[in-house]
Amino acid sequence: MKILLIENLQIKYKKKEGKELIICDNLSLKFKEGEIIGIFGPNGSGKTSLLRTLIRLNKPSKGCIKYLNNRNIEKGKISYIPQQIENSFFSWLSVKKNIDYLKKDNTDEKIKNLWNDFEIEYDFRINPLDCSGGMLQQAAIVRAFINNPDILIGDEPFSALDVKTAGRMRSMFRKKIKQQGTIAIISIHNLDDLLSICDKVLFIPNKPYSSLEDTSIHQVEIYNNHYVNDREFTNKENSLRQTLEKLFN
Amino acid sequence: MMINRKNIIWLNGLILVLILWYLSSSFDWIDNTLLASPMETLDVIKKSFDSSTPVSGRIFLHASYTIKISLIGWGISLLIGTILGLLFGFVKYLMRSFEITLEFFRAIPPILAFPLMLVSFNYEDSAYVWTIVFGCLPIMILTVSKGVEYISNQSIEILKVYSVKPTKIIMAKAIEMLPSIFLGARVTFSFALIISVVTEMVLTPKNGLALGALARDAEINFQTPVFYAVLLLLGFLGFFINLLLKRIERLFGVKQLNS
Repeated sequence: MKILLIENLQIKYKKKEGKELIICDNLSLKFKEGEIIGIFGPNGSGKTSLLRTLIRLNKPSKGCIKYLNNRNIEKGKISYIPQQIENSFFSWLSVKKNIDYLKKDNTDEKIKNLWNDFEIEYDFRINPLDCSGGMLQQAAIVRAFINNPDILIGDEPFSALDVKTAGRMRSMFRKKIKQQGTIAIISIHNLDDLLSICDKVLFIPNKPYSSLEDTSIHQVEIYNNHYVNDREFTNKENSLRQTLEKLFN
Repeated sequence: MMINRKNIIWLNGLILVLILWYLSSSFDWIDNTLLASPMETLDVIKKSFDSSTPVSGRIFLHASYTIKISLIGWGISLLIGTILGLLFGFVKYLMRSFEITLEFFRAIPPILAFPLMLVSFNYEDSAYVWTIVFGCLPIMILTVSKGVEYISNQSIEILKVYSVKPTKIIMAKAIEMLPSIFLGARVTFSFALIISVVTEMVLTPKNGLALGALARDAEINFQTPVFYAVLLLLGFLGFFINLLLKRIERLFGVKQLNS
């Protein structure tokens, strides 16, 4: 069983004027395999900082992040979909070769399969400079699955996609996460995205936020064992929507 | 054979200048001590290939010296400038420590350093070379170090998240740096050529062959066609080297950052 444990995490930054900005303090969370956790909150609440800390791009000032699977997480078993997608591809490589560059072994077949699974319509031999934001976001989602990740972190992974593409990508994304038993933590602004893909929602209030206990009331199971047309689901969805909207305001 | 008009549109400006040049010299719109005719100028260039022409009149021999000096000075600037530029770019502390000093030296006209170089290098060719280095090095360092900022940090971060081999990360960074290195190379080559010609105009090199010196003497002795031949040659030289560097740049598939 893969578990991601965050214990007493503190993230803080030094502002230019020398003041310290505490993003979160004494935050403890536990995520299990196959879970998709949506992080939801207003702009500037520290969602990206939290995500970057989880993938070790930022160092926490206190606390620790543990990956438990009877052993430490393997190297290269974390993947990341950044927010500013345009800057995350090298312009001197095609989209396919950008994905290929991440792996030691030949990934040709795997990229092709993922491309087909996600039903992406454009040719992956295209240069990233010739791609729109939405096209690159689709490629970034495929890239996130190339290493069969144990942990997948996404920062607004569907924000640049049109309604139809977003729906298709979300449903395949969810399927892959469940199949591979990945722990997926994604920040999402769009309530519809959030409700249609996440198992749990973690609402981040204003800074500094602290332990999960403070926000646990917002961690609501919304999707498991329910279908979109299911009345129970619809009721839960409506009540969650109201709760989140209230929190957001 | 059909010629696409779009491919030869660049000829318009060139043809217009040639026509104006021809008309101005033929109809004496400008005094012929100030403006040689295109035919006279071409004749000087043609004579350069003729072995019966005295060495001093063979313009390509002058050009070869100027090109040699420019290339050596430029090459040194390119090598040292790229290494230091990368170092300054990646180590922010070094950049903060030296940026003002580099900007200060960049602002000094390199020709002012020439007398110092002449004395330091005993009037040898090295004096010309190091004057070029004095002018080009700060530009190269600043261009390359600023170019480090253009490296796509997010792409590099992705490589780190996926635990890609350090050698692959270094290679990616190096390729990301290429546009600024090429930009620096192109800017400094033109500058190297200018410094070389100006210093040669100030003092003729020991062997007596240099484009700058030839242009100066031609001007003093009213050999206007020779002067214009030098001018043409320098223009073509700068243009073709720039074109060559651009081609090499494209060969590497480098995206243009500043053009």
